[in-house]
Amino acid sequence: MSIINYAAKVINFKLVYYGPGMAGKTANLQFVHRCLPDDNRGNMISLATGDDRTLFFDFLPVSATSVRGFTTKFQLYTVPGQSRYNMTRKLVLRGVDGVVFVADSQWDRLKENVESLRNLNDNLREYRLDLATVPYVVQYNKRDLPDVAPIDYLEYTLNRGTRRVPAFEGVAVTGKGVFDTLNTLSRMVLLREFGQVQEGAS
Amino acid sequence: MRGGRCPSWRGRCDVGRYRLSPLMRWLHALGVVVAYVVVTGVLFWLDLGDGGVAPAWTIVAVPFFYAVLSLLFLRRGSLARRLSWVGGACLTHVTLGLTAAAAFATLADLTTLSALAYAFARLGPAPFLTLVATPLVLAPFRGRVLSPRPAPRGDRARQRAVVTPTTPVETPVARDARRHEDPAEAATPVPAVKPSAAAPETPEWQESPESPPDDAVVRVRFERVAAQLPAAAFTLPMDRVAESLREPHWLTVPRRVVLAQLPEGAVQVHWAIVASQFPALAFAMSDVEFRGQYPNLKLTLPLDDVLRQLPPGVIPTGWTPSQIAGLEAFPAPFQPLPVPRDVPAASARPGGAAADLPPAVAAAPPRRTPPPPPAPVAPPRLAPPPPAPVAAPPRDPVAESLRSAPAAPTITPPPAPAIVTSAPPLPIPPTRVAARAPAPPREVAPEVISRDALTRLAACLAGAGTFESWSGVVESVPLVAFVAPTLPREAVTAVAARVAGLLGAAAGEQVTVRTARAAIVVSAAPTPVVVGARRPGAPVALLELRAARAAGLIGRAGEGVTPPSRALSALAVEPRVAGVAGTLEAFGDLEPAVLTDAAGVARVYVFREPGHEAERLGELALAVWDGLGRTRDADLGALVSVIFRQGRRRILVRPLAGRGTTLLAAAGPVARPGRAWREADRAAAALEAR
Repeated sequence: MSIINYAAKVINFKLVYYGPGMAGKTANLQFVHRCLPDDNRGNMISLATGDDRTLFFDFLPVSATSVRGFTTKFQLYTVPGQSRYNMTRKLVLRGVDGVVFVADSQWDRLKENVESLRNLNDNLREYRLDLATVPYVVQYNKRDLPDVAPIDYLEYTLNRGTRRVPAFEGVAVTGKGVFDTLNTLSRMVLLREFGQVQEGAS
Repeated sequence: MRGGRCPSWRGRCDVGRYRLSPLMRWLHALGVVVAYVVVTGVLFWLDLGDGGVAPAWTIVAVPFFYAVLSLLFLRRGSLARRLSWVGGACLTHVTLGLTAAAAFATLADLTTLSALAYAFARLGPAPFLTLVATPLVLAPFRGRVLSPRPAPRGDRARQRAVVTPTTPVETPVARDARRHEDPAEAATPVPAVKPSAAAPETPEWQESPESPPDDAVVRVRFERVAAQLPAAAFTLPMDRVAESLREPHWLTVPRRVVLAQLPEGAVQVHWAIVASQFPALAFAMSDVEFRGQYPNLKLTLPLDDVLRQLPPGVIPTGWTPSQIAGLEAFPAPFQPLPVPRDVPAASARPGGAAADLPPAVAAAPPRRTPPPPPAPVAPPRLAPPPPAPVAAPPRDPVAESLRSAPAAPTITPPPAPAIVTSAPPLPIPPTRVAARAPAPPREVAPEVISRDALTRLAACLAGAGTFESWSGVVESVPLVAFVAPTLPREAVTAVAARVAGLLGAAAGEQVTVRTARAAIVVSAAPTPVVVGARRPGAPVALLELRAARAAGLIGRAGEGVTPPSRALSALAVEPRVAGVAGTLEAFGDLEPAVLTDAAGVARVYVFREPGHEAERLGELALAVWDGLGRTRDADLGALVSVIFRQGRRRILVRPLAGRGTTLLAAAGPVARPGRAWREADRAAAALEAR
C-alpha cells in the first residue's frame, strides 16, 4: 500500500524483489544503486552472510519522477531467498505495492523458481493480496549462462497464471534488463495508483 | 535374482555373464557340454566296472533335484517360471545324457541301449556330472528367465527371419533420440510418438507388457541420472550397469509421467517406474531390501533431454512480451547513468578529468553548493529529483574518486565538514547543548566515510530492525545514522546531535533517548553512531548492543564536553523523597538530594551513589533538558527518558510532570537495566504525586 504524505507531497511505494536464493535479487538492487544519479538514490543497506547470501533483506530507497505534483519515491526491497527465512519474506511483503519475481534461468534451478513463486503467492494471501491483482513482473535472470532453459518453458512454468505479466530476460550483474524490469513495474504501480488518465507526469 | 547373496552361487553365476551377447551365451553352454562329454568319455574309457553303477533312484531324483535348485536359483521368479525352468533343466539333463551316450557308442561300438544305460546309470559318475553340468549350461540364460519381459525365443527366431539379423531393432523412441542426436535429422520436426503408427517396425517394443502400445515414452541417457542412484546398492560400477540395462545406456519413462510434472520445473520418477529396466544381478541386495533401504528413491530427469522429446504444442512457443495498456502514459521513472559507477573513470569517460586530478584533489571531500535556507518544515529525506532527464548528467570527479576509495572504514580529516547526501544540514536551533560548549576538535570528518564502511557498520545491526543509512553533519556534529524508514531522519539526527556532545568522560560511551514513539541510541565514536527505531519495535537493549558494536568499528571517542556549570543550591530532602531513594534498588544504595537553580524554576531530584557530587548530576540533567526537553517532534513524541551508559554505571534522567522544570536523575551501577528503568518510572510517578 502506498504511503502518501500530503504535506510534503510525497508518495512512497514499496517494491519487493522476490525469488529463489541466488537468483540475483541483490544483484538487481546493486546495479540500480550503481547506475542511478546521486539525487535519485539513497544508501543501500545490505545485510549479507559471508557467502553473499542475503541474511535479512536489502533496502534501497530511490526517488523518481513527479506525478500530479507528488514526488514518487520507491523503496526497493529484496527478500532472503532461502526457504528457511519465510517469516522474513512475509514481513518484507507487508504493504508491498509491486513485486519483481527474479527467476534463475538455469535448468537445475527451475524447481526452486516454481516453489518460490508458489511461496510468494501464499505469502501474499496472508495480506489479502494476490498475484492476479498486485503489479507484478518476471525477470528471467542469468541468461548469459550456458545451461539455461528456453524462455518458452520458463514462461510455461512461471507466467501462465490468470493473467500474463510482463517478463524480461536479464543479466543482473551486467545490468541487462534490470532497468527495463524496474521501470515497467514502477509504471505499473503508478498506473494502478493514478489510473489511466495521467496528467501531471513529468 | 536380486537376492544373490550366496557367495558360492554368485561365484558360479558371475553377474558379468548377464552381459554376454546371445552368441556368447550359446558358446558358453556349448563349452560346458563339450567339457561334460570329454570328462564322461574319459571316465568311460577308464572303465570303472560294475562297482561304479549308480543306484536307480538317481534317475527318479533328477526332477526333484532341479526343483530344489530352482527354489535357490529363482527366488524372485514365479511358480510358473520355476516349473518351466525345472522342465528345461530336465530336458537339458536328458540332452546331456544323450550326448554322452552318443559319445560312448562312438568310443566303444556299443548298442544304443547299452550306451544309454552307461550314460544314465551304469557309469556311476555320469549322472552326477550331468546334474552339475545342467545348471552350468543354463546359467548364461538365467537373466532372461528372471527378466520381467518375456523372452519368447520362438517369436524372436521368427522375427530374425523377417528382420535383418545384423541390424538391431530400433524402437520409435530410439529413432526419435537418434534424430535429436543427429543434427541433420533434428532439424526436421519430430512428430509425436505414436506407437500404433510405428507398430510394423517395432514388434519387439510392442511385445513388452510394461509399455502398452498406446503409451509413448521418453528416453534419458542413464549417465545423466546415474549419480542419483546409490552405488552401494549395486554390485557393478555404474558404467557396467548402464551396459546391462534393458536398453543399454538408456532409461525409458512413460511420457504421461513426464507431462504431469512439467509445470513443476522438474520431472522426478519413482524408482518403481524404472526398476524393471535394471538387470537383477546388478543389485547387491534383494528387491525387498532395496525398497526398504531406499523407500523414496526418485530420479530427477534432465529436463533439457526430456523437453527435446516432447511433441510440439505441449509447451507454447513464440514468446512475446506482455503489453499493458496505459503504461505508455507514464515515462520511465528511472534513467540510469550511461556508465555504472564502478567502471574506472578513465574508461567511463575518455579523457575524463578525474583521472587527471592530482591525488590530493582527488581525495578531497566533495564541495556542495550552499545549503538552501532553513525551511519551516523538515525537508524530505531525499531531495525531490529532477524530472528524470538523466541522459548524461555531469559527473563530479571528486565524488567519483571518493566512491572508488579503499573499503577500510578509515576517516580522514577534511578541510571543512560537508554533507555527502543530498539533504542539507538542519538549521541550528536556539537551544542545544552542543552549541553551549565550544565545538571540540574532531579527529575525523563524517562525510568521507566510505560506502563500504557504511555497509560494514550496517552489518553490525543485523537482526535489530530495518534502517536507512545516512552520514552527514547536523548542528556541527558529524554523525553516522541508521534510522528506521518509519521515523523522520532529520528529527532523529537532531536529537542525536544534541546529546552526542555530552558523550565521553562526562556522561559515558552511550546514550539512549526514549521518546513516546522512538528509541534513539547514540554511541560515542569519532563519528558518533546513531540508531533510531520506532517504539515499540526492536528491543532497546539489542539496539544498544548493536550500536556499540558499530561504534567500535569506527574507533575510540574523544573526551567529550563537560556540561556547563550552573549555580545549583540544595533543598531539604523530604522523607517522601528519601523513601523514593529506597525504591531504586536496581541502582544500588543511593543518597537523595533536591537541587534547584538560582531562579528557582528548575528542580532536580538527584539520587546518586555515596561519594558522588549531586551537583554534577544535576548539571547533566539540566543540560539534557535544555537540549531535548523542549523538543517535541510530532513524529517522535515527548521525551520519556535519557539514559547514559558508563560501563556498568547508568545515569538516568527523566522529566516529571509539574510546574516548571522538574527532573529526576538517578545514577549507579546497574546490573539489570530493564528493572532500573521500571523502578525509575515508578519513582517518577511517586514524585509527581506530591
